[in-house]
Amino acid sequence: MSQPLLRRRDLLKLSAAGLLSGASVPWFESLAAAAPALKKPRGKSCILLWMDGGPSQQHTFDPKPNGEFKAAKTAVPGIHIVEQLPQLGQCMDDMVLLRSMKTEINDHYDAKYYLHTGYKRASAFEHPAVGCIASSQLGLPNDDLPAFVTIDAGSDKVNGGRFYRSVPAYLGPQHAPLAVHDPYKGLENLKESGGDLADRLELLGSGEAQFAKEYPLPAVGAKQAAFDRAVRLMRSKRAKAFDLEQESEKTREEYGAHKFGQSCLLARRLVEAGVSFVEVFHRGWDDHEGAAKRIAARAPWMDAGMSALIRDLKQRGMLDDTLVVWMGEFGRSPGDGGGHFCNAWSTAWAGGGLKTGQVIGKTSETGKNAGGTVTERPISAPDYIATLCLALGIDIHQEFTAAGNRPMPLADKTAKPITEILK
Amino acid sequence: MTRYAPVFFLFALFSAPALAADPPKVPPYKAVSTEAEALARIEELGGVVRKAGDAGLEVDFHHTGAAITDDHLQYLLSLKAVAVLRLKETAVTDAGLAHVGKLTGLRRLYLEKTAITDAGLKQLTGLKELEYLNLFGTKVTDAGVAQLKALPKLAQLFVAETPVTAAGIVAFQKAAPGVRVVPDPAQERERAKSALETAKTAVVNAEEALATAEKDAAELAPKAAQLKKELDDSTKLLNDAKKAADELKKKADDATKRFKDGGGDKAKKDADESRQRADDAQKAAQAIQTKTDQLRQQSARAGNAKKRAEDAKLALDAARRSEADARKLLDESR
Repeated sequence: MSQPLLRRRDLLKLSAAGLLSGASVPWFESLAAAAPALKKPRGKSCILLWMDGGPSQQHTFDPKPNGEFKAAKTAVPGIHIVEQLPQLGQCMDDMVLLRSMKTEINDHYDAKYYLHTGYKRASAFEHPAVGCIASSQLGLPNDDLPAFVTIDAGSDKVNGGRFYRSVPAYLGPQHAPLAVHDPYKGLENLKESGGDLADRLELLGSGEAQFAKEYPLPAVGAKQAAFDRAVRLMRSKRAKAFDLEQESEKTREEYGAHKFGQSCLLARRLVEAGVSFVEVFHRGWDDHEGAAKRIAARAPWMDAGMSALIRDLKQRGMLDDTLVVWMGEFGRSPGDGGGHFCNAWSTAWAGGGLKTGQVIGKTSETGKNAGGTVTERPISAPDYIATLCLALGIDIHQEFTAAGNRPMPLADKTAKPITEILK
Repeated sequence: MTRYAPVFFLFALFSAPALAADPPKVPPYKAVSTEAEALARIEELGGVVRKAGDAGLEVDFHHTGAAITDDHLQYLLSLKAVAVLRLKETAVTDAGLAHVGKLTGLRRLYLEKTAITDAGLKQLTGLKELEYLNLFGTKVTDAGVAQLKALPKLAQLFVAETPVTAAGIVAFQKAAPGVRVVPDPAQERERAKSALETAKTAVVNAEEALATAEKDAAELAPKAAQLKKELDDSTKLLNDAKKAADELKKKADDATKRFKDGGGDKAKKDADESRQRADDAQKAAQAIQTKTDQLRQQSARAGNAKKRAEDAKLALDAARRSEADARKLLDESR
């Protein structure tokens, strides 16, 4: 009777010592398996819709009076977005537009890194991506499902420079994302091959037991943990979350017959099954030849997929607990959107229990270079990532220990979170 | 199971429950006498207990699924201040809600995709602190929802994918104006209207594109060969005219140079005249250029008219389908 209480007390001590937030500690995992009750709030889930290459703000969420796309009314009086996104307009009650992103970096890869981590890229040091942070802070230890999944929603064409992949860095390899390469196929390798898996695992296990005994190193544990995770997922009933075929025809249609929409649907299924962070990426938004024609072609599927996701989450009562984020690594130059532009651009958030139905920040409305400058509440990359973490219920003031005992704060010290959207 | 022993020994070092090929048997309910004991039982069942802000505990059976039955919910009665309870997709029924109804500090209750009915909801009417109630995908009806107006703090209610009707929701909204009900028929109607507007515009655009393409197919396509020939001739003419204009411009430049070098009045007259001729030739070439461009456009339209008409027909069909869908959505929202 007193046994579990003792375990809980030990856990608290560990927590106070900062060990619960660190990388893989083998004896901690077995302890956590015995007493999984973490003394922290559940936090929220996040679906990040990453438009790789840099989507134009003036052709989406920040239209201008003389812009190429006309502004249209939304469900919230006074908020206008482009007329090409009518269904998202109807979701504006549940959305927050951040129109004053000001993020310093105009180079694709460095900007992707900055907007995924909140830190500028440095040589010989890796910062964890926000999805990995969420995995480490919100995921359950020893869960059947990985806490962080990425979904490739395809590409219009391959542009936008080198692709950024989320890295857990000092948080530990167990927080690396599980990658779904095609939403239609789910996890292709999830089925057991042959009927003798148990025997093969036993053989492998007995071989490795000897090694683990002789070399009790963290790396051995990490390798074993990853392997273990795959087997557990393979045998979990919850793995059916990866299968879109389980959805009704009607639901699949609502999300749109495009890989992006189906990826949004898969993301919803995963969050429903307990995944903390899903990143859906679509490549090809680096519209140097002008954004109007290209975004006019993308708008229907983007509008359908993202709005269906918001509506569906809402219907299921999940929108309070799930934050949807639409963004790229920067915006596009005012006017035709031909160039990279980090000086004044937009991201769009939905749900997450935020104070929705509002716009944060402003860009210049008129003049020769309308939209070229932020006129109200500039949002830096550290501000942005800190706000994202806070919105998910993550303590941004904690510190991690990186290699060489280097203390790393979760959010950059300069970050000023956008508290006006948090409840 | 003994043959797995070495594997288990290894995995136990890292994470104990990894290789269980069969799901473990669910431990049946056993009476408990302390909070610590109840916590241990909940954890044994695969439930998770956390702090829910400052206000109390969150008990989460989200990941345990059908293992949780009505009896197990009695453990909750030994916990202090359960504020959030997640029972999604568990085997909980109306009988279990009798226990839940005693958790008077409960603020959020998740019952989606369970077998509960109106009879169960009656047991919840004493939850004076309840703010959030998720009944998505259950069997509750208008009559059951109507009882919920007794919940003084209820702010959010979810009844999609249930037998609850739009009329039932509207009636409830009148009886309990402080509650945000999802789906909200008024909002659905706005959305349907907007979808219909969008679809109508798409139909008009598709019709226009089809009309143009069909006109081209009827009028221009038969003349495709002729247009092509005219375009070729015109292109040749254009090249000649450009060449002529270039030559005249060169002559004019030479004449101007001679005048500037001190050629006197005659040279000035020559220069002016040849400049005039060069400008005229330039204008003539420009006119041919315009005509050639027109011909090129027409020729292209003649060539792809059939393909465009086919595409436009498909686009129009799609637009009409979404218009019909939007109308249906609007009808349903009435």
